[in-house]
Amino acid sequence: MPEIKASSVEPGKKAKISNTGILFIVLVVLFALFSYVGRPFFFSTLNLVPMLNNLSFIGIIAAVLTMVMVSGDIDFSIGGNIGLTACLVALLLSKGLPGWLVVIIALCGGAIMGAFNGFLATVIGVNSIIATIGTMFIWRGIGYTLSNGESMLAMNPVIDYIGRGFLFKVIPFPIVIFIVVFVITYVIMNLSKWGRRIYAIGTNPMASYLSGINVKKVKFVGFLLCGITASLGGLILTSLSAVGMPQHGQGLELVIISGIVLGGTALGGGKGQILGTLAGILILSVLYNFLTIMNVYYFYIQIVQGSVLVLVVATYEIRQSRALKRV
Amino acid sequence: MSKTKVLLVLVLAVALVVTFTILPGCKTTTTTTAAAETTAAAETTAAAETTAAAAETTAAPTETTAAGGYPAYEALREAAKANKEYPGAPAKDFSLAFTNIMGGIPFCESVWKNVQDQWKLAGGDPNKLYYADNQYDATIGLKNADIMLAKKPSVLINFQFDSKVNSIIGVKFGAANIPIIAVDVPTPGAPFMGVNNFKVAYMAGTEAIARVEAMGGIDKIDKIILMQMPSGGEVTMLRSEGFYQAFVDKYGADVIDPKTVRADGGAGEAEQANKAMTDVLAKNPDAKTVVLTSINEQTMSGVIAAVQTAGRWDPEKFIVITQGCDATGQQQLRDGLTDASIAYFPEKYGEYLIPGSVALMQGQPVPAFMYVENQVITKDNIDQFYPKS
Repeated sequence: MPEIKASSVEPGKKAKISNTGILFIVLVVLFALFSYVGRPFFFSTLNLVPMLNNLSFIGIIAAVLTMVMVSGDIDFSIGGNIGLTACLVALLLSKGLPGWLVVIIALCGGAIMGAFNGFLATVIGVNSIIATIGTMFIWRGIGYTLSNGESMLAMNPVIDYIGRGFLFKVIPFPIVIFIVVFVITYVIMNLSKWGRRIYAIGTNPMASYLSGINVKKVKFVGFLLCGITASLGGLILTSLSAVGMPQHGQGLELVIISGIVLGGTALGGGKGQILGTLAGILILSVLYNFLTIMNVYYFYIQIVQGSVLVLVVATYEIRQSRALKRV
Repeated sequence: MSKTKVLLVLVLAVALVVTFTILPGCKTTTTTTAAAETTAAAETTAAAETTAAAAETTAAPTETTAAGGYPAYEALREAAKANKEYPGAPAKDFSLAFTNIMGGIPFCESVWKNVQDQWKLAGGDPNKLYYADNQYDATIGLKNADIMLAKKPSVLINFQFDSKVNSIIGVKFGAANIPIIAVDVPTPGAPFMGVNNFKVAYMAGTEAIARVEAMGGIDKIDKIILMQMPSGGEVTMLRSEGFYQAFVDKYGADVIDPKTVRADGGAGEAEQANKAMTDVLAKNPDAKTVVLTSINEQTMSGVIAAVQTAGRWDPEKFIVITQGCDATGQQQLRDGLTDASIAYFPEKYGEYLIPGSVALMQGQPVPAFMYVENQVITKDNIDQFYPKS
C-alpha cells in the first residue's frame, strides 16, 4: 500500500528494510553520534525536552499534513493559519474573553480556514498549491490587520498551559498533544478504511472515484483537519512565546513540508508514512539542534539540512527505480 | 497493518512517558510556569517597556551611557575602548552566549565580530563563546534561547527582534539565574545596550530639516516618505516615527501630515523596499522634491533604485537620510546617493557588551541603559570615521 517493498516484488527473498526503517536507523545513529560529539550539552534533559517542546507544534501539523499530501494535495497556508491564529488569540484575550473560549474560537477559526481551503480545492477545483498559497497570504494579511502589524501579549492560564504546562507536573503538555496526534493519525492512516481511501485517492483519484470512494469528501476532511491542527500549532506557538504576532509561522510551511518529504511522502500523493514523517521532522530538528550547539553558523546549517533532504529523497528514488527494474 | 506495529507505537509512547518521569532534571523549574511566570513576565514586560519608552522619548542628542556608580563596568569599558587586553583576563573562567538577530547582514556581522574580538581581549575562551542566529524569527529566537540555556552560559547577550517575546526568554534565563544583556530591543528585567531608536530617528529628522531649510523651507517639499518596517514591531517603527516627530516639532502636524507618506518597506531588504517605493512613486506622480528615510541602508538602496528606474532621480531634489551607516551605507554616501546616515557603530558594540557581560559575571552592577554613541555621517566627515581602506 504505502511503499513498494522488496519482499512484495521478489517473493522468496529476504524482506528488505523499508525507507521508514532506514530513516529511524539514521536517526538513532545521528542521535548517538551527536550525543557523543555534543557532550555534555546535547544529551541532557535541559536540551532534549525543550527541543521536543519546540518541535511539537511542527510535528502536530506535519502529521495531519501528511494525510493531505498522501491524498495528492498540499496545504501551503499552514504558516498563515498559525500567524492568524496567534493574532486572534492575543486579540480575544485582550478583549477579556476566558481562555477556554479563546481556544474553542481559535480551533473553530482553524476549521473555517481548513474548510475554505477544502472548498477551493475540492468544490471549485482550484489546484491546492495555488489555492493554499493564496490563502496563506490572506490569513497572514488578516493577522496583520487584526494586530495592526504589532505583537500582542497573550497571557492567560489556559493558553499558558497549552504550550508551557506540564502533565502530572512532569511531561510538557505540547509533547503530550504531539504524541496523541501522532497516534491518532497513525491509526487513521494504517488501520482504518479512511486511511486506505486516502492512499487509494493519492495513487489514482479516478479509479478511486469509479470504485465508489467519495474523493471530494475525503480530501475536504483532510484540509479541514489540517486547518484545525495548524490552529492548534498556532495556539501552542502563541503560548510558547506568550505573544501573538502575525509573523508567527512565517516560512514554517517549507520546514514542515521538508520534514514530510524527508520522511518519504511523495509530493504526487499515494505514498507516505506517518512514522516516516515523525522520523523526518526529528532528523531535521536534531540536526539543527546539534549544529547550533556546536556553534555552526546558520548558513552552514541550511546547507547541511538541504543536503540531507536532497540525499535522502534521491536515495528513495534510486531504491524505487531499482525495485521497479527487478519486477 | 499488523498488531505488532500498533504495539510498537504504544510502547514508544509509554517509553517516552516513563523516560520523562525517570530522567533526572526533568522536573524542571517550570512547574510554576502557568501562573507565577506568566505574572512575572507580564509585570516585567510592562515595567521594561515603560522604562524603555521613557528613555526613548528623552531623545538626548548624544551618548547617554551612565557615568559613575558602576566602577567595575567602567574600568572594563576603559580597556575595551583602548582595544587592549583586559587586566587579569577577567573572562577566562566564564562562558558567554550570543544570539544574533540576523546573520549575514553587515550590521549584525559587525556586532558579532566585535563581540568575538572583545571576548578574546577579555581573556575569554573562544570555545566558550556560544553563537546562534535568530534569523529575524521569533520562533527560531525562542528555540535558540532554549539551546543556549542548555549550555548554561554565564551570561546571555540577547539580540532578538520582538521585546514581548523577549519577556519569555527573560523569564527562562531568570529562573536559571543567568543574567541577560539585551541588544537594541529590550528584554524585560535586563540591562539594555544599543540604539535609542527614537533618538536616532529624531537626529535623522533634524539633519533632514537643516537640508530642507537650505532648500528654501518646507513649502518646497512635496512629500516626506517614511519607508517603514511594521513587521519589526514597535521598536523599529520608532526608527522612522522619530523622524516624523522632528518635522512635526519644527513645522507642526497640520503642515507635515499631508506631506507624509508611510510605506511598508518589507523586512529590511532591498527587493521589497524597491517594490514599495515603485508603488509610492506611482501614487504620487507630482512628487518631485522629496525627503526620504528608511529603517536601514539595505532598504534605502532598494528605494533609490526604484526612483532611478522611474527616471525621477535628481540628487538636488531628493534629501536622503538613512540609518546605520554600515558598509552599504558608507558606499551610498561616498557615491552621493544619500546625504547623511546616522552611524550606530556596530563595530563598537562589543566594547559595551563584553565589559557589561564580564561585570555581570563578576556579580558587579551595570547601567540599565548602555546607549551607543551616534553620529551624523555625511560625505564631508565619512573619512574621519571610516577611513578608506
